[in-house]
Amino acid sequence: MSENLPDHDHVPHTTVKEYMMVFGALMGLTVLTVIISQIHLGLLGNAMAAVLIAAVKTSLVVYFFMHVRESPRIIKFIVISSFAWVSILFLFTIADFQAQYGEGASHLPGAMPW
Amino acid sequence: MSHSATDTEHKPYQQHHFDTMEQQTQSTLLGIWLFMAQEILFFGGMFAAYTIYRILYPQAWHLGAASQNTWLGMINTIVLIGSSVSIVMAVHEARHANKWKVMKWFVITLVLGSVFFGIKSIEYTGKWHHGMVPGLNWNEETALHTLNLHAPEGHHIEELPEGIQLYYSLYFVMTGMHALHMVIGFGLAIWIMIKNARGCFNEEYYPHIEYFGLYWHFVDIVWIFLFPLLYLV
Repeated sequence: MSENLPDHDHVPHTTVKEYMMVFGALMGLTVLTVIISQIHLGLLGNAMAAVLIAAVKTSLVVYFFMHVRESPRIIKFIVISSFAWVSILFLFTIADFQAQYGEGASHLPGAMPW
Repeated sequence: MSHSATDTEHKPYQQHHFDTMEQQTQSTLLGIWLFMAQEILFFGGMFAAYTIYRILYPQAWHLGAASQNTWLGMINTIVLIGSSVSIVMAVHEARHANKWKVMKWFVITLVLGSVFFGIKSIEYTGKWHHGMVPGLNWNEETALHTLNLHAPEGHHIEELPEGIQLYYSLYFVMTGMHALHMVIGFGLAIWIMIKNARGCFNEEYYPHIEYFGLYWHFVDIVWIFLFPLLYLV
């Protein structure tokens, strides 16, 4: 059965020191997101900065705290594909609505169908 | 494999439909992650609604976010990330079968969760008093006053921006669903603590603790997105 050995057997468990480093990074990013929100980057710019930082924080939590780094490949696949599907949802929603009604869109005023 | 012989012995916590403990662990882990995947889609739908209305009603979103108390939101973010660390420590101790240390970290997690609820209830009560709860207690006059009170320099408004009730509706639905997940988490945590106290777990078998950790981290991740999107931008 050795050929079926799950690969997580070879990854050592995350240490307490590593958990604390991740904790520190999450705290730093929380402060950073508040600071960046005080700087005016435009409506879209601020939103993108906030989402980007939240995505980095999420990756840290998922990879270390949720033990994905120690998990078998099938789990990594599920995690990546879930976020990939959600990204498609957001990509097309944002592209469509931003182009039609977003800042700088050349659409006629009052063109919203409702 | 050398441990295959011991694997075939049926431990009391190994379900009869699994051949080995390894198989049981892998299967249940897969199951809980599929649950996580549908949770991502569940909240994803709400975030998509948020995105659409934010693009349609930028002014409402701008003033709505400005009316939130950034400090309370930030403290709650720190508290919740802290509770993620404490639950990860509980799982760490469970791997070494330190029963009472697991208990200690669970208690810390629940205390931090309660702090989060305390702050959230201050925020909810404030909104109720200002008549900013769409559908239940909405008062145009006090809502307008509150928005102007917190509006950024040069953003004074004479009447409520279009879509402002949508902002607050989504605020209450999203933070409410998040809080509901935490309430369920509290129930699960207490159940697991009882099981733990009874000695149901050992260094080979602690799935409840590990999977509760995954669930709790997921709830933390939702807040990691809710905080900047509802309070900051």
